[in-house]
Amino acid sequence: MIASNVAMALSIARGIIKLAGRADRLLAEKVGVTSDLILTMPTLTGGPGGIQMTKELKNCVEETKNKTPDPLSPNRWKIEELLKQPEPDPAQITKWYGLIFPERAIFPVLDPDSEYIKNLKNLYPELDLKDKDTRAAAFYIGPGKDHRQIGYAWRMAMLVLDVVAEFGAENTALFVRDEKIRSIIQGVLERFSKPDFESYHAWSPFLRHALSSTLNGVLDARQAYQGDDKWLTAMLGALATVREKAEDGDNYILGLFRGKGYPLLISEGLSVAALTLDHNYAGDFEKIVADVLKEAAPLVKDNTNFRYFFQDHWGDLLRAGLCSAEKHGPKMLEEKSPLLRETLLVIVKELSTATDAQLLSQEVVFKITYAALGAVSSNPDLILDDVEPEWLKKLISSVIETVGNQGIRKSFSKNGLEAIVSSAAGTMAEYPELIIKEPGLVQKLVGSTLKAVGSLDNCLDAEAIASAAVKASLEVVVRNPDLLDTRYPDLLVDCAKRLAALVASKKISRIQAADIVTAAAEAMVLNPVLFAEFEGKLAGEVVETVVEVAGGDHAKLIAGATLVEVIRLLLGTVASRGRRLLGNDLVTELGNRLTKVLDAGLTCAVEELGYHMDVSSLPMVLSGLVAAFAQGDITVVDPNDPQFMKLFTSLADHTAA
Amino acid sequence: MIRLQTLSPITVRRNISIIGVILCLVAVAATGCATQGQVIEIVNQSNELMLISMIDMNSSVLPGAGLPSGNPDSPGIEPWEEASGKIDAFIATHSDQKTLVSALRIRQGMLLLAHGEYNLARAAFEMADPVHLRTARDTALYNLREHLIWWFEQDKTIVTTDNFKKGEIALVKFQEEIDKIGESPGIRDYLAEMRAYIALQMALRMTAENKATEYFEDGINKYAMIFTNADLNVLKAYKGVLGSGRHEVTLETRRQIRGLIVIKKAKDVIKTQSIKPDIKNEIFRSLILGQAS
Repeated sequence: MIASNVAMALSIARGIIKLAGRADRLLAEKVGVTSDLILTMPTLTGGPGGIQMTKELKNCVEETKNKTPDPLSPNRWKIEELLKQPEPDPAQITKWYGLIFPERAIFPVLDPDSEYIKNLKNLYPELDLKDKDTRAAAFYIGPGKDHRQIGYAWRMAMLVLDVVAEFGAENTALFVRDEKIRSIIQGVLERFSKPDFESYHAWSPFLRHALSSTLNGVLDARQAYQGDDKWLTAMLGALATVREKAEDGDNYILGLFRGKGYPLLISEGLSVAALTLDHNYAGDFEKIVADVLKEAAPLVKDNTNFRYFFQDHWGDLLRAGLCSAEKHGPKMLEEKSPLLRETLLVIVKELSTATDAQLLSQEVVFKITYAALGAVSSNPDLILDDVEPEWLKKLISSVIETVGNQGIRKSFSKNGLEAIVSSAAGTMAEYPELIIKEPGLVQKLVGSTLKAVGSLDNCLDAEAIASAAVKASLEVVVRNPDLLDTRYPDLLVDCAKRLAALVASKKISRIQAADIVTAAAEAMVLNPVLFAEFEGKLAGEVVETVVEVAGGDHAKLIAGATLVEVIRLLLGTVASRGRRLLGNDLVTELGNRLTKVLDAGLTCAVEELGYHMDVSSLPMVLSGLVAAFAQGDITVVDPNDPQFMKLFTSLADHTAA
Repeated sequence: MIRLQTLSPITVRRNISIIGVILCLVAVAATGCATQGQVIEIVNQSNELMLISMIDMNSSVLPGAGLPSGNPDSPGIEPWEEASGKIDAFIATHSDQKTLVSALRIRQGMLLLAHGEYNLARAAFEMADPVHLRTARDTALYNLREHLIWWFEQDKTIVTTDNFKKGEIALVKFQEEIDKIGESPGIRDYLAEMRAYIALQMALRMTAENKATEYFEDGINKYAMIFTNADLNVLKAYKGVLGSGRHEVTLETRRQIRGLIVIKKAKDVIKTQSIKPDIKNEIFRSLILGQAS
């Protein structure tokens, strides 16, 4: 007890001495910087001016030119030469003037400070200028504005705070009984009191220090609170290792803590890992995290853009790593050169060289990393056989190019664009074979679709169509990866473009367009070869034709969902009978033929509704008519033709049944 | 039952000894204001020596000022040398206090300048670290150091062509600084006044009428801009007395009184050079040319 009290007394005394010493230095600085300064004004001279002297010299030269002996001899020619100049050298003029008119060359001294005191005495006789302070005050010039944000009063307060913090760090045991809490507080206070607070001139670095010391202090005291959570222990252990090893480790760690991805890593990534992963792997994870962060440190140091990007996304990268380990098993973490480590390192390097990486959102970074890790998991050779895997480069660049395209960014809302791209990346993560087959898929399919519909003024319309087109096409491609080698992606892009134009002209709604593009994506798989012909315009022609016919129908029988259904069925019919419908004609001729059949069918439908059919039967009946026409079963396309009427009624009855 | 707690003699002795230790150390700490004291001494001495430099110019102005003329313990050493040496010695032992050191270097530079030690003044200015200059005054003086040295050093009567060129540059640089320090009127007024004198002196020594007029107009028109409406009204009403019952000189009265001296100098220049400048400020025009708008 006695020993602890003495120790405390000594600690207090040390604090007082330190406070006094530092306060002395601070106050000395205050005196030196802010004290008034007496400044003097140099003296001047009066007397004749340059112009006056020049005139007088000129007069003298003129008046004496015929005098004998010449009073200006032997210097006359020099003076004459000088005076001929438009702007005679003032120093020369003064010199000659002094030689020729010594009695006039009197240049009395004017001392502004003496004049000032004289005036003061005359104007303010009450002022006691014999008093030293009054006299000095008449000349004092204050320091003026201090450029620093933090004044001396604040700095003195911070000094006291600093000493108190240091005292608190040394004597935490006196105030806090709980050992765990005490070690945390001690860790924070020790770091908090390290630099001299009064040396801060602006708030920003001080606050940065406060944050840094708090976080780093927490890190120092991690044994106190990490408890049994092995994954959190691993995470903090890795950060502590990086802080020791990295150059400017404290600031680097501070940046990582400030990143947007960090909270998600802690709240989602690590908690998921703690619940689902074997905690024996936490040690492997710790090494991977430390390696990745250490490798990133030099990349971050020289590249401001990447620094901010990495600070925000390192948590997303590691979260994707944990999710990947959860899904694909411990093989991502174990071995001498774990797949997770290798893949993350390549991704970090690739992102550090990408100019537009900062445009990637948290969700996109997470999903694309997750997708890449999935691909590596299913095919480890992807990462192990290649030092700088081209596929990974292509995967990342295709996403960045899509997101960074100016046209696309202008046409879509930030959230809309992010949703579409992250959804595509999510699908790719579910089907890593897509990445293996086509790592540039995002650019090829998503980027092209977004560009195609980007002409729409209303970004909600564009997002609805693009989202549906991308989703549908990816679903189709997942089932048929070989389609990636065909023109299928281009066909769908053309279809989306035409739909965008129809939406823009108000002929269809964005909801209909989204449904139609989904239907088209499915239909085109039925005969990709046929749809790829005619420059890939076949599907778009069918869509446009049906929309035009629907628009011209006064009874408005083809509307809403019926329109989508008619198109879906007709695309199916074209897939199966398109060659018969077209023959050797151009694709535009197909449009004319369809229009004729559909118009006739609609005329009949108006007559037959309630007798043989209802509106729900209409798509099937119209599609049947087109199929019959393709088969050659209709020779005359006329709603009044008995044979056409008979066929229509038969189809309607069959459908209704 | 209430039981009173009492301290045992051992506890009392122990607490007394603890308090004793603390008090002793506090006493030691309290005497540790040595640095501040040294700086106060440096500041006071340098300010006094600035006043001496004025008195040396015209000793009749401040009769019986009672300021030291030298150190009797160190005969042959000028007071300014001693003061400057003190600053050097202080800085040698406190070189880690960059802000304080830089402020003292500026003070030293101005002290040496006032005593005609131009090379030493230049060296002092150059040893100030601009990054650690914190006030508008010190920063402006540092930024203008070369022009200040030039103006203090240069012959005001025989002005060479080279000096006119330097003067033109100085006029530009001074104005740049003046424009930046509007919130620090003390140093702004000092620099504006010096600029006006540079321009007027150049107008006086110039041999070509157009250039003399140009220098004059530049000097007076820019100088007039530091005067507030209240200042101008005081100058306008000036009939030999500016006020009465004052016991201290404010920044405003200093500006007004020193303004009158500049105006007097301007009138002398016009008289001897016979130029017809275009003075923008109505009050200044009236006071210098005797013309109302």
